[in-house]
Amino acid sequence: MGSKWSKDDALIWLSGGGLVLCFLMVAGLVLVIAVQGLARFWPQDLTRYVLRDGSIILGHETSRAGVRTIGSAGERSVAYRLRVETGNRERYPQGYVWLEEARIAGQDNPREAVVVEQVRAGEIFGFLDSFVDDGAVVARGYDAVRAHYQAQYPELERLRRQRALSIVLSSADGRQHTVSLANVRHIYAPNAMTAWDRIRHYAAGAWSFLWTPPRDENRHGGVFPAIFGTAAMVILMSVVVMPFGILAALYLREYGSPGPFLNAVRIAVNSLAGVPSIVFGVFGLGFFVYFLGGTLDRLFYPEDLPAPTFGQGGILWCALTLALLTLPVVIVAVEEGLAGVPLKLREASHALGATRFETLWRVVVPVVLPSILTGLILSVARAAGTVAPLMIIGAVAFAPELPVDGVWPFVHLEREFMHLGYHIFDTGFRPAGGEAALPMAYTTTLLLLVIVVVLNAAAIGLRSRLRRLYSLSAGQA
Amino acid sequence: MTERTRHRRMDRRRLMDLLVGRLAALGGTVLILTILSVFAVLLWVIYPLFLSPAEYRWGISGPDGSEPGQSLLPLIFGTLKGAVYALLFAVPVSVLAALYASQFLPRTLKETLKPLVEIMAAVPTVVLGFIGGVWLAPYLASHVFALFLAPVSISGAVVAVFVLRHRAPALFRVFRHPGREIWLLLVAVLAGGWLALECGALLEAAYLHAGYNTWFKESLGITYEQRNAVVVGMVMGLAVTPIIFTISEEALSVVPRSFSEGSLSLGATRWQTAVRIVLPAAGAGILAAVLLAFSRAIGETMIVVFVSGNVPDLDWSAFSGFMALSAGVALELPNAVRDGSLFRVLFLAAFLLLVSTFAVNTVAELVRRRLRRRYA
Repeated sequence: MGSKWSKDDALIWLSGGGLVLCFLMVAGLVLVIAVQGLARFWPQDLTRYVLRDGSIILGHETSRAGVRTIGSAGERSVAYRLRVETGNRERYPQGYVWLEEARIAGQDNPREAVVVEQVRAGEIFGFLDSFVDDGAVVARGYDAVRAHYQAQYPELERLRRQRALSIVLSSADGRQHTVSLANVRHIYAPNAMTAWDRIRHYAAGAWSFLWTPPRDENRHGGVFPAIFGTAAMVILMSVVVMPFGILAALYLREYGSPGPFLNAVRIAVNSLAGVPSIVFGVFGLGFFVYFLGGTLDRLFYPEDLPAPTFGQGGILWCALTLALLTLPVVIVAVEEGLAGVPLKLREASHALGATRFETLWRVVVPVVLPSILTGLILSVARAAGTVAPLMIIGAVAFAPELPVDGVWPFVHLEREFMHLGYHIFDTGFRPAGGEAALPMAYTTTLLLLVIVVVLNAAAIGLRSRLRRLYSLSAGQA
Repeated sequence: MTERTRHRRMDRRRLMDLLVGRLAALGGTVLILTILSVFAVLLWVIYPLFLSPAEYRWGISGPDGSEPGQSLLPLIFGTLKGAVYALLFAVPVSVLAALYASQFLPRTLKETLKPLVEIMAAVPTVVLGFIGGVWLAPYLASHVFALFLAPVSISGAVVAVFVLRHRAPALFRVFRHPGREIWLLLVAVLAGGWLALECGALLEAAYLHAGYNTWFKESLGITYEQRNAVVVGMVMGLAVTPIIFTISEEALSVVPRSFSEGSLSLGATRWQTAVRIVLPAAGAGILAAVLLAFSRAIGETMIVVFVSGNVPDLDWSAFSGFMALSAGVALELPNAVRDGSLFRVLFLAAFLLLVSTFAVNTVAELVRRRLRRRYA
């Protein structure tokens, strides 16, 4: 039995399709970031490809693509090829090769294949051949070298300073390759790993991503300086933006008397909220860096001129610029909190003889405190994700010196710094490390996305709890 | 307590009150000074441009040819192109979504939707730009037919599932509950997307000899650039969708219920009521939403940096790249010599962005206020 339906109901469904489509597209993009970003630390099996011409290549497949060709008789065919990550950048400068499937004669996953993570120059895939100690071969073959390496591992730091230790690897096609142990970070045999080994490897990789600086032109290592720089900049920004934001919100809601000045402040807040972030960056360059910074240099660091101290991009100027950018966010959040305080509370306080300030301090502020926190969280989330102004003032691709360290005066406000969002731009846009840096960029993107989404979810949760609270207290009237 | 100490304490309390009031006013003053100084600083840097010949003013060449000039015309064009494509994608989808959410979605679902939209709005644009430029652009470049088919196949799948539900209601008893149809829609849209990919692959097998680049040149006579206006439209469209959705949804929700009740009682269907009565009544609000999205798209930087290809061409083609003002400023200013001609021209670009977003925002705010007054 079919019920009656009209063309109109189908149109309603189509409009619902618009809603669902938006969410699915965002969800899809987030899913791609999550999959690519999370897969990075999982040890992948090494495959040995034997080609028809007799050459052998060791690596792991990253993707498969079809190439369309048209034969002499006009017949169409698709040839598939594999993109195989090869490591060994001395031999394969790109770090990968394309293998046509038709050229592959056979493949296997040898258990003895190892990955050697080097401090410099990336990874090497190969087979352990021998362990060399001051020119003398002390172990030969996979098991012996591995046992020797593992036995000496606890003392490795000390030993490799005293003696010239190195490992000889043979690549899949039999070429010998000597790696000094001073340049080795880690050796593992992915094909022989159990699931538990893999999980431990994954956890160690994720941990070092969070706590170590980048190595090898951002292809390996972690993003610790970027996390630290972002946090330092955001704290500095909050110190500036919170007092001004709260004061401005108080003026708008509590102290300002209706008139042209109040209107002007209101218009200023609205205009500030609409200014594109890149324009703030340009303003920051013209005003903070060149005008304020230049003046500070002339007054306090004349001996260093013409080399600028504060007259170049730095963490302080970035913090101030982002403070301007997030000012409207704080003001709107605090204003909303102030608007939600029931009038009865104020009236009761005034009736007991309290002044405006006393009412504010003892009655209104305790109620508004969570809204202030909401404003802080939202502004921090905004600042962590804003990149455009930082491209112009102060964030750099690689800054070995942190803005806070043990050297007097400990906090170096004039220093350039690394920022998570800028790091994504740098590794993703024109990567110095080529395509090999992209997996790292995905992981950084995932990290930033998680931070921003968690912060926003916290702010939204806090606010909805507050709203329930207000509506409850209003309901009891 | 003597009379004197009480007076003194009173004075101190009054003084504190006064002080905090003044501090608050100072906060307000700082705000006004900030927005004024943004204008002032930009004008201070660019005013020398206006003292020199017209060519130099538009940054077509430097004064003595010593520095490579940067013409702003292709960049202005690129900014408009990016914004137009973003709106072409975002406006239909998000206005339809807002209409559905405000008129046909149950209240409880709407309440769970709002935080989701808010989080969607909070996704940093560098994240969208990165994934758009590094993953989506190459992906679409190898699935062009699927992209062409997607609008048809997705709407087709939605209608098909709808018809099926009415022909065989027994199959869909689980989804009869109001609000559960959203899950059915989800399945339909996914199925439509999958269908587009499959049919795209079939078409590729039938019509594609040697990749899309050759096909574009032979069949349409245009070049296909991987980072192009369509991809920018999709990614930037997603970035501005929450703005259009939130503001239009609000505008549609404040239309008095008496309007739609009157229409329904006269025998109009739910869809007729929504489109012919509620939508026009909220027209000003939707216009404001579109204007705000336009101004966001003009000022947006990271997405165009990643996805537009940054080639300063004057070409309306959907499959070619462009360079936007904001991207030009972000990419070139770090290399510009201080107070050189390129430096000043890029400040002029920033000033153009500032003035145009300011103007569009103001118009949008006025339109919104008029709507609010009408139904207040």
